[in-house]
Amino acid sequence: MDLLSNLSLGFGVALTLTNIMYALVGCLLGTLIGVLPGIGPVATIAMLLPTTYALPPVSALIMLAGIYYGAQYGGSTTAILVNLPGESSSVVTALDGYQMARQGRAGAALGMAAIGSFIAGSFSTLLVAAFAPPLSEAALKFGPADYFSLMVLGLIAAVVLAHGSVLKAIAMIVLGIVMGLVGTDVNSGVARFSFDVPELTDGIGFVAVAMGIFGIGEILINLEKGEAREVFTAKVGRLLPSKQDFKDCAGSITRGTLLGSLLGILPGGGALLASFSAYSLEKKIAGPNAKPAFGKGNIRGVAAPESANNAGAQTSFIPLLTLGIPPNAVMALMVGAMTIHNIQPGPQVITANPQLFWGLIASMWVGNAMLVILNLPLIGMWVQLLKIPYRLLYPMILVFCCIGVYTVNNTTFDIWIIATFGVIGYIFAKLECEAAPLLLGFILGPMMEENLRRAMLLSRGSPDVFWTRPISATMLVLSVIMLVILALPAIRKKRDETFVDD
Amino acid sequence: MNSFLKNKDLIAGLMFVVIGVIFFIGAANYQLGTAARMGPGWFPRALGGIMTFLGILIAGVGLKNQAAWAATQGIGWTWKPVVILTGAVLLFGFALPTLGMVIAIILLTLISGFAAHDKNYKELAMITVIMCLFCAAVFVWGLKLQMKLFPWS
Repeated sequence: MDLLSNLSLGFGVALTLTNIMYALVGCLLGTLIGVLPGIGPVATIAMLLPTTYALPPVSALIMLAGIYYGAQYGGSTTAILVNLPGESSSVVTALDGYQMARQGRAGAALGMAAIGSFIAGSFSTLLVAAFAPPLSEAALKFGPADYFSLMVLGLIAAVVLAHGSVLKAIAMIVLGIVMGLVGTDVNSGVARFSFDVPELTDGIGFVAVAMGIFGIGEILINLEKGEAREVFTAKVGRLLPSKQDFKDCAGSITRGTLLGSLLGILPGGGALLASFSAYSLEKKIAGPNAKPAFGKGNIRGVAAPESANNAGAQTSFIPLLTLGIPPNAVMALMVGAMTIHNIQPGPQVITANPQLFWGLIASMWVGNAMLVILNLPLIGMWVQLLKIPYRLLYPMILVFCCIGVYTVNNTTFDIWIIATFGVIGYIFAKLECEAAPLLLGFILGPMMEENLRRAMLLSRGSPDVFWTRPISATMLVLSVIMLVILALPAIRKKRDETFVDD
Repeated sequence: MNSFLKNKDLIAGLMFVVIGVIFFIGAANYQLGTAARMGPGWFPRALGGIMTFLGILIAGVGLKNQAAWAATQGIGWTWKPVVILTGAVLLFGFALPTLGMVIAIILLTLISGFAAHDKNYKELAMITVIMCLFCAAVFVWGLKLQMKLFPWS
């Protein structure tokens, strides 16, 4: 079977000593930042990008991927023990997880979160392996018009699935796209919106924008809130959940995994959305008579979202690896990592770099296994780390951000950019404008313009091409359907409810 | 008047209008081209228009709910940490290539540390030393990145 021979090629790459090492480093770093509230995978991967210059491309991607799914594991530890989401995707885990900890069942909650994540991770790794090749073959049939429509669909999906005001989210996307256009136009060589600043003719660096908004902007918001952290110091208890727990959670893990895998593939999806939806689904299925009630320490409320966020983290690699389109900010950074190593993300990766492609997929499973084996015994250590107060943490994050962004291009200009975007990020956060859609627009903007121009050139200026090509037409119809559904009052209400749970 | 400043939607909407108009007008500096051969100005101009329109909608929604906004606590800008942190980062940018990494880090951690509610100078000094050693070890000696450590090196 093809799948098996491909996977064995992948494991051959992933199981070399160096790559195991980098997977381990990635997983540990991911868990670390997952545990620490106030710093997420976007800022961390952005900070580490420059250090991957020297690595072989496979190792670099393996490490960065490890950070993303490692953060999903780490986030649950903080959520359960401190009632604070270490990672935004574990917001819902805190609801039942912390209650369990107060009832002396922290160990069972942590254990179930890890086991659920592992099962979800293994399943979604297989899913990526099975679906990526046929999808990338299909992607080769995509013309520029199809790509453009697909990106429209992706951006609209990002809006529908984001929380908060729809209008603001769309405006943020558009703002992201125009900011992505700053710099030299590839077709005509004209420097656009560069205001005669020579550094701006190369465009605004994506890493600097991400670090400014998600690194410095986050710190500013956190500083304002002040700190209320209560570390759970009582005994963690037995890590292995009981037989009854397993019986209760089997269904939750399955549902969480399936839902998470599906939502991860969608553009704009990924781990965050997956965990929210899985929790509300689980709550609905359990009904009002669940014992103990949801929010009062029901282990299913831990198992489902934790499985879902890990599955979603993994399957969000599918659009990146097959179409070259990043579905969320972390994947956008992976595009950056690939371009650093001269790999153009897209359908050709699988044929041009099979070792990289399958090695990365196999490493996801290796990483997940490592996380379960290593992290459960290390929980004591992570708890100790939580005692570092934020007043010491944020100067450290600042230093890493500043040095990291400087080393990308060895220019202080990028430091001015992160300072600026830190302030911009703060202002947006205060005005309740979400920054994630902006980042997505920023990375997709240049690709959209490129494909729009190419499509219009090929069609000699007739926009008909967007609805006469079947693939493109399907994407646009789906986009319209999404917008219409969103406008329906009943759905709107439900969407608002889903995100009110925190 | 003051109650309009509490209206997050109104402010955000106006902000988008301003940025949208800037891009719409700014794009006129570049060739628009035709639909078949789009110039560098076409896409930014279209987006500037869309953003202006969205901004008006957002501000409109905000105005409609003005009564509700006026009853809120207000946005609660806290500029002190913003100013301190931004200043510290800018100073770092000036210091890094000229005075070297060690001084740049000392400036950054010490100044930014002042933004915390619960300052603790002993801890701050400790963190500064640790960060200097760690960054020197990892970035300069380990990864051999091109950065000087001291003003004289």
